[in-house]
Amino acid sequence: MAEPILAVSGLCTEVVSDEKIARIVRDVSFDLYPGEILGVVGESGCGKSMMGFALLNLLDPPARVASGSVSFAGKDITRLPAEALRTIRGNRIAMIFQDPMVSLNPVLTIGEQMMEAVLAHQKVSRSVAKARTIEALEMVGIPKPAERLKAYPHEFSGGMRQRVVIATAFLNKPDIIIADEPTTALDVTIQAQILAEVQKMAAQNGTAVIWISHDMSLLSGLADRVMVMYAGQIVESGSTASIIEQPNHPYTRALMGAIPVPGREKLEILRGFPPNLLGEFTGCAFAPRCPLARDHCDLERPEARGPELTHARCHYPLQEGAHS
Amino acid sequence: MSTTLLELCDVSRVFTRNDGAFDSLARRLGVGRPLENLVAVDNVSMVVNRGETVGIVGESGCGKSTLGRVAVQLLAPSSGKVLFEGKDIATLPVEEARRARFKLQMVFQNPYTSLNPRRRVGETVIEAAVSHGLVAKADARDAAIKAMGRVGLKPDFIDRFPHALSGGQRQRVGIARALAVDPACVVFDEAVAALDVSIQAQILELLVELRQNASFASVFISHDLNVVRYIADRVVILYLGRVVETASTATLFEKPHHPYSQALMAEAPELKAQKRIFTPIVGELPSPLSPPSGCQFHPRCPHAMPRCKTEQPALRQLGDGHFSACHLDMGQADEKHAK
Ligand SMILES: Nc1ncnc2c1ncn2[C@@H]1O[C@H](COP(=O)(O)OP(=O)(O)OP(=O)(O)O)[C@@H](O)[C@H]1O
Ligand SMILES: Nc1ncnc2c1ncn2[C@@H]1O[C@H](COP(=O)(O)OP(=O)(O)OP(=O)(O)O)[C@@H](O)[C@H]1O
Ligand code: SF4
Ligand code: SF4
Ligand SMILES: [Mg+2]
Ligand SMILES: [Mg+2]
Repeated sequence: MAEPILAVSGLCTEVVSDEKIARIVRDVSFDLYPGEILGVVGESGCGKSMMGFALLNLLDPPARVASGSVSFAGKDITRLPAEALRTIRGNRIAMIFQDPMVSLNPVLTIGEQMMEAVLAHQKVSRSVAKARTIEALEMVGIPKPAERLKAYPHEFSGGMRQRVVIATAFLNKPDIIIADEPTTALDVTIQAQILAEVQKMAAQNGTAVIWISHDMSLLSGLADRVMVMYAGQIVESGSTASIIEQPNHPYTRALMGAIPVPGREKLEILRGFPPNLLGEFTGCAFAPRCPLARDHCDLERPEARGPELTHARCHYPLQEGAHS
Repeated sequence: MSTTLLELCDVSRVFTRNDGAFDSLARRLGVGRPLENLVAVDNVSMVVNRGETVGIVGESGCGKSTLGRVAVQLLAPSSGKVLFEGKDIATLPVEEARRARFKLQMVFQNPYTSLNPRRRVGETVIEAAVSHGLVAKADARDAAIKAMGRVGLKPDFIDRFPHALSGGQRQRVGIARALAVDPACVVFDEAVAALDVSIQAQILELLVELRQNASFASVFISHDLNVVRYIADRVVILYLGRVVETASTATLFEKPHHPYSQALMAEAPELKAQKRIFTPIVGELPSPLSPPSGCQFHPRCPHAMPRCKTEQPALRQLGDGHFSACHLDMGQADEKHAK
């Protein structure tokens, strides 16, 4: 098997406030391979975005990476000096944030900032940079891109701004794209266009993609592999097909049972909310909402078990239960 | 009692683009640009029957919210009529019109801006019912608790302000407020968009349940086809303010006729254990300020023919309650779709 392009091990983040410590990302480990599209799914507040930020060492105080490593090209991103980090970000690893204005400079035209992104990392002429910019805008479905280069971000709708950010991420053909729910606010028509381009990037350029979303339907069509996140932990991961057909973790099954699919008569109701992330869990973090919880679940924390990529953090995984 | 509750007859709604003080001054001096008109809803006719849920689907800006607002009388149509129980509300005496409007409720698209931040949940929920004399002032608190209970909000939320609620809880406050006045028809405008699937499922199941018990009709606006398929009895597909296809949910999802409906369905994410190749519609939703001639979908349509550029297709009946506005024959479209 090829070498992973990104290897994450034991990643933990903390937010310290008023002497309280919130542990948001808890012991996350995974490998990402070239050309692979990895989906991350979970409810709001499960720590998906913070994990994305942590992978690029982009956390601002009081949030910080508390332990663990993120190794990219033989270096640990969490320990790199600022200068080296900047070179990697935007060139070899691109991040697309939930909010497009985080990435756009309001006082520069779309053309200026996108061309700048090319010129900062590649030795090409301005006209080449301009041609690439136009090409990237075309890929995300901005009509008449050459005429839009002089527009400022505020002249674009929210959906168009998000597409500019996505186009910018495509510009330098990065090794890795980390995308945090970038299409949630877009129409299905535009979303399909962007997903098609992402698939092409992965297949043709070997770009590895981490796609964060709360929409399992979307990920089912896009991702090769899916990680399910709950209360800051990866509770299950595996090939998209196995996650959908044979989920092991009750949370995974509950998430999918809540989705309206053709032919489904009744939606499964998952009551309650993810827990707050202060302190340690004595047992399983999902226990208060889990339909299968038994006494033991409150007493012992389920650890990751089984072959690395298909573990479920559960004392009574569904597929095992089916056989016993 | 007729089965028709609400009927929109050839309703249009035109907005005049607000182009700023300078332009309007210039225009008054006779040197400015002419006012630009935006036709947000263009000659739409539709019926909502008692107890029924009608889904409205289409891309951003196609006029879904505007149509919903016109339907519940929050916006006057520029032309056309809205009939409630057979009567044109615009021509009713003031008091009767007020009562009719009150029977039509809307749950707004954005739960963060549609609630008054300085008003407590209980007050928000029951205020309209009290001011219309449905609930005595003295009973307001109990009635609020009851209304909140119907949407699964615990009594201790009654004195909270909206900022102390999650998105899903706010959405329920909006639903509780609409239902508290015992409406005949409720327009749900993207009521579950932007919510977690867990909360979305709670609200969808709640609506299914409430509908069975309360028998109000609803108009369910959503860009999520899977959600519409789950909740709606009939679906109306809008494109740039016009109805391009309407049919029962089963017919529309099994045999979409209009190329736009087919494309929308092909693109909707679906929970399947298989990767797929996304095949987007080419091109962008055109600006409603300068809509294409003829069939407005022609610049993006894979089946476009010469006449599509010049001739606007009328809605044609294809079957029981199934209408589509496309020049293609039914056979033709099916054949191409199958390829
Ligand atoms: N800078 C911060 N300081 C303190 N708490 C934070 C910070 N950023 C995030 N959190 C908290 O960490 C938790 C996880 O947040 P995160 O944004 O990662 O969730 P998410 O899974 O991306 O959710 P969503 O789907 O809503 O985007 C939340 O409870 C959030 O309130
Ligand atoms: N008050 C208004 N003044 C001027 N134009 C308006 C007004 N309200 C809506 N429009 C325009 O009318 C068109 C239809 O808007 P509408 O909000 O009904 O669309 P929508 O289908 O609900 O979109 P979305 O899915 O984004 O909510 C848009 O082009 C919009 O810009
Ligand atoms: S460990 Fe127990 S509570 Fe946790 S998911 Fe498994 S069965 Fe449910
Ligand atoms: S009328 Fe013509 S352009 Fe319009 S949808 Fe039908 S085939 Fe396509
Ligand atoms: Mg997030
Ligand atoms: Mg709307």
